[in-house]
Amino acid sequence: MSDGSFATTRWTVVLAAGRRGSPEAGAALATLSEAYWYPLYAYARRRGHTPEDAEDLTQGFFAELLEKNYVRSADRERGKFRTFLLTAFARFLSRDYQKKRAQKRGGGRTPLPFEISNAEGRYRREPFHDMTAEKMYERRWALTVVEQALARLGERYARAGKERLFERLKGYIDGSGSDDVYREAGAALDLSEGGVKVAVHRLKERFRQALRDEIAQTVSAPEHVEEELRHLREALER
Amino acid sequence: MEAQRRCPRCNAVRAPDAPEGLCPACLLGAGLAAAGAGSAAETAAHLSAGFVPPAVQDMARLFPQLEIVEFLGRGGMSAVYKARQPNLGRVVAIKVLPANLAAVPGFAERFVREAQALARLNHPNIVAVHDFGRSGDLFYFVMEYVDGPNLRRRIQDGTLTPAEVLAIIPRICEALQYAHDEGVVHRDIKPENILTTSRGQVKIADFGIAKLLQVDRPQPALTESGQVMGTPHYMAPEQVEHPRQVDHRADIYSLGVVFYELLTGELPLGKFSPPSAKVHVDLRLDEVVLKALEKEPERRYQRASEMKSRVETAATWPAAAAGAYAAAPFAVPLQDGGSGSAARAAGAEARRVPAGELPRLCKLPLWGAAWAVFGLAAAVMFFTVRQVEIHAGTPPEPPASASILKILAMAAGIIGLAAPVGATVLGFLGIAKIRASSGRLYGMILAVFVALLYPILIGDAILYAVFDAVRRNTDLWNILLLVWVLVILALDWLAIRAVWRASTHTAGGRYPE
Repeated sequence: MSDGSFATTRWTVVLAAGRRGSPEAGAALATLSEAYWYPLYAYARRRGHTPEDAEDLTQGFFAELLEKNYVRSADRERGKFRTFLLTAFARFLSRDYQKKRAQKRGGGRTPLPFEISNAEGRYRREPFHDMTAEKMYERRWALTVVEQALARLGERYARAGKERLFERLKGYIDGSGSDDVYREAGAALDLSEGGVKVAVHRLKERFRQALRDEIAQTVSAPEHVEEELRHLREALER
Repeated sequence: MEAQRRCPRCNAVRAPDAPEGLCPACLLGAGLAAAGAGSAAETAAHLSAGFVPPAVQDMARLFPQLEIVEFLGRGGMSAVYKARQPNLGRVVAIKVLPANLAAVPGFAERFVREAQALARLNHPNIVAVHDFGRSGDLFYFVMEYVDGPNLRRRIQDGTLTPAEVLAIIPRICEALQYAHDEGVVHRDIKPENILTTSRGQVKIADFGIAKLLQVDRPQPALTESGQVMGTPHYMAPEQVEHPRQVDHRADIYSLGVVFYELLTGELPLGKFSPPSAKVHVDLRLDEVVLKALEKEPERRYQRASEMKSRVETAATWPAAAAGAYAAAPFAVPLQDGGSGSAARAAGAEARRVPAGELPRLCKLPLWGAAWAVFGLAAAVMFFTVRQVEIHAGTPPEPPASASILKILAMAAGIIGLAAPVGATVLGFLGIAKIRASSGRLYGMILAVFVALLYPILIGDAILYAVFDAVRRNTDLWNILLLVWVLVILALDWLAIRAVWRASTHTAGGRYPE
């Protein structure tokens, strides 16, 4: 990712719009929220809220965030969308009246531009129910970043008409491939073993780019990408 | 934690919900390495991809001069076999590197150069290299055979005692210092590479292998992955960021990670707590670990020998404390530890106190309190005597013996007069000392009380006097007096609160959060 493209990442658009907000900032915030609502749901669940409450709180939080369409200046200094979201959500949860609001569910709330669906189904599949809520949030966030990057990459390959190649080789992006599996994949894709290696190599390069681009969407300065990557990787280790 | 759920490459726990069944930690790591090493960096991980260790029969064919006994195990980029040298009658270990290294231009020369440096290392705590060479496409080392488990195994077995850990670390430091003096940096210190013999010796294996295999020159034809060599958890930050600028201080960092893991059973990841917050260990070991784990190489121990002496000091003195925690179960989390309940009961302030050493009362505020009381008593006496004198009119001529009393009274008066300054200074000194003791001393409440007693008394008196000077004896002014007194009390409260917070806020906060 070049520094030139950085200026227009979503989180920087939101931050640049500041208190006044702007249609672009609203759209950027909505896109980001759509991608990253689930870690907050998992956080709320881990904090002990029931599935219904957690969903309601997540929904209510994003409704409020998108309705206001701005990020408080104090939050802006926090730099990253990930940390902003968690602090804002934690504050939202701690507000007393939220409990009451959660009870009279759904009353007069702005509908979200995206759907919060199957949250509990996903949560039930979370493997680590013994970690702290914060840890779970960070872990979930890291996985979401990877998922987003993979999805973007898949779309790119699909646009180029190389969907089959992507589907067949994506399992080796993490370096798990070996000569044998490449040979096998080559047979399926009508490529030589060398051809598969080149394709996997390109796939890895592009994934790396997609990953860094995805993270760039959520931080406020290019130099934070590396730091965020490192942080997220640590979040996956326990 | 189930071993089968871990990623074989990075050892991170692999969740069943990982996207596309990929290891997300590896994926994020790939993104990381791209910035640091650049895509031209060739890696041993790639080279060894698909590395199948030769079968024992094949090894026997490749090494006719040896009797290959058995396959011992493999790392990411090597395989180790147990063998006998019949003519010498000794058992050795033979380590072979992936065959495709032979195709890397310049590797053969580098192998010889590095191996010669390794073969020169001669230290009781370093696995000796007896021979090295190339057989067919396989590069190999013939090494001293160590008949005991490595530290990874010992951690998993839970058979390490804290006393043993404190005996092991200085030996590793010695070996590192020796190698560093010889100009060799290990670059891959981790529990797997630290072996223990059946006689309790410690031996570091694989010196310099990481550097040998870190093909850090551009190898465009083979470039596949941008991963950086080494074991990420144990690698110093500069090993990831500037792999070419790594020096011996990277080993010190890695040893810090190992030390932390041996003490706590965990890795120091992210915002980690000092070891003493997790297990009962001497506070000075926190310092050793945290200093070894400094991000900036300049802030770490500059020499392994320096670290060694710090560990040894903490391990041997005070003997009582060391003995107490050597007997405690290893790596017992604080909350369910079976020992040290006295220290736990002493509350949060005592949390960082090493086992066997109970917090002591800080004496300074006590002296301050005594001085303050003396000062107050002197003031009361002075005013009482004055009142009596005023009421009695001209005092009768004092007897001669009274002059001694007079001198004593004057001396007491001077000490009493100095009390406001003296007690306050002692109070603040006490606060500073208790703060610096990280829990070894208690008595903060008394110290704050002594420190603030006179400043507040004097302050109140001045504020009252200011008001009194302008006051007229009317009802309105009497009500205003009441308000003024309340204001003074509020100010007192704010002052006490501010000092209390400042005194206690950062206690223990010298650790990285």
